Amino acid sequence: MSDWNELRARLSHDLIKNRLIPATSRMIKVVNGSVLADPLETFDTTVTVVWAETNPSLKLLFECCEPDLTPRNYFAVEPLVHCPPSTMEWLPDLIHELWVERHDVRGWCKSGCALAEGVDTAVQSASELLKRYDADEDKTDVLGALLRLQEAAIGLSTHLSLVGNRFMI
Amino acid sequence: MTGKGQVLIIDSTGNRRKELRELWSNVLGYEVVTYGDSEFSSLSSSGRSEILAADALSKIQPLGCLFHHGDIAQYKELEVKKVVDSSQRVVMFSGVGLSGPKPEWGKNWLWIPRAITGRGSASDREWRQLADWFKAGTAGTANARSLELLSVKKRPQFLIAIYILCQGFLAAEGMRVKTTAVGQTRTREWWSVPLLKSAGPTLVNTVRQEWGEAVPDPVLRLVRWIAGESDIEDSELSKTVTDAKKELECRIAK
Repeated sequence: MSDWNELRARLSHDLIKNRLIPATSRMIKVVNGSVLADPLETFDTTVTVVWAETNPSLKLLFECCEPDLTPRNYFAVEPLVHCPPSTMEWLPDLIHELWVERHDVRGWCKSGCALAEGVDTAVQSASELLKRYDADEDKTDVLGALLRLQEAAIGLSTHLSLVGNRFMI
Repeated sequence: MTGKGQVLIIDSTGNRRKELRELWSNVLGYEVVTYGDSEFSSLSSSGRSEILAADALSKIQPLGCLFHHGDIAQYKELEVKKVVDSSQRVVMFSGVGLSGPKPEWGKNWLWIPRAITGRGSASDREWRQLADWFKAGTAGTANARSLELLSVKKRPQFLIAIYILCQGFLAAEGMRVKTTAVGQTRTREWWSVPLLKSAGPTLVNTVRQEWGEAVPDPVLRLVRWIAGESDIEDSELSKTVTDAKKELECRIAK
């Protein structure tokens, strides 16, 4: 597994799927009253902490996708490193462009950045509402914000899982 | 308890746990102990699932443990930790594949790199290899990473290189302005210089090894031509390259 793919798997599986999404589900239970815990403290120690760890790495993941995965890199290692200069003049760039177009690599990265921004906005919004939250008052706004966060996190996780061997060549 | 070897499966995903339990019990001949999210159970002689009492639990000594990484938090439970630690070998798996060991794992735990969503995620032969390796215990000579299920497959560098050259050849064919460099793609030398400089006279065998099974005819024909072992008529070259590219694309994406 390449370093890039390892980072992708770690973010998608370890952080978003196994920590952020369950933490959001738990927050919904806390606000609903089926789990007893302090809402803001729970949110800060679970959702905020995980997202603070995930978000910068996601930015790096999308930034590095094209340079790290491009098949142009195969011209720097055996056997294509032995291509003569007359081939090196045109083939690596051509192969790169075909790859970018075939997999819509830039589109995938752009959508990924937008989904990550969506999660970030949802985290901030839920956090703000929880700071003003009063358990005796109407919970609709807070629950709505948490559900939006859950949906955004699931969308991001799905987007990250769309890449398997597909992008590799 | 019977004289069969025991395997422990820890997985809170019910369907997958059931599939793995049936595989290890019915096909691989193990006595299976499972843990979902709260209790240990095993199959009775009548095939029914029974919750294991504390005294039965203390007698469990699994030869191997299959542990779903998403349930690693269960390892903090004293009872679970005790049974897992009594397993001779622990193999971690997940529904999306694992890239390497995690800090919270025990020492010497191994992992399955590919995604395991059920019995069909590996062939019966691969499961059998793992089962035999568990049974061999610490005396087993097989290196864990030589087991297909635990091996980290290397990218097939030569297949990828040939695929890239096929793309270059076909793109050059479609270009309106044919430069000298592009015209070279129809020569054997254009293909053979990089490939033979790396593989030497073993190119055909190298490709066979990377492919792993019977190499499809168009790929084999192209590689043998590159290696100078056979000829391809100029009029047939485009079709051979097109067909080989299709085959390579499917193989590399696996």
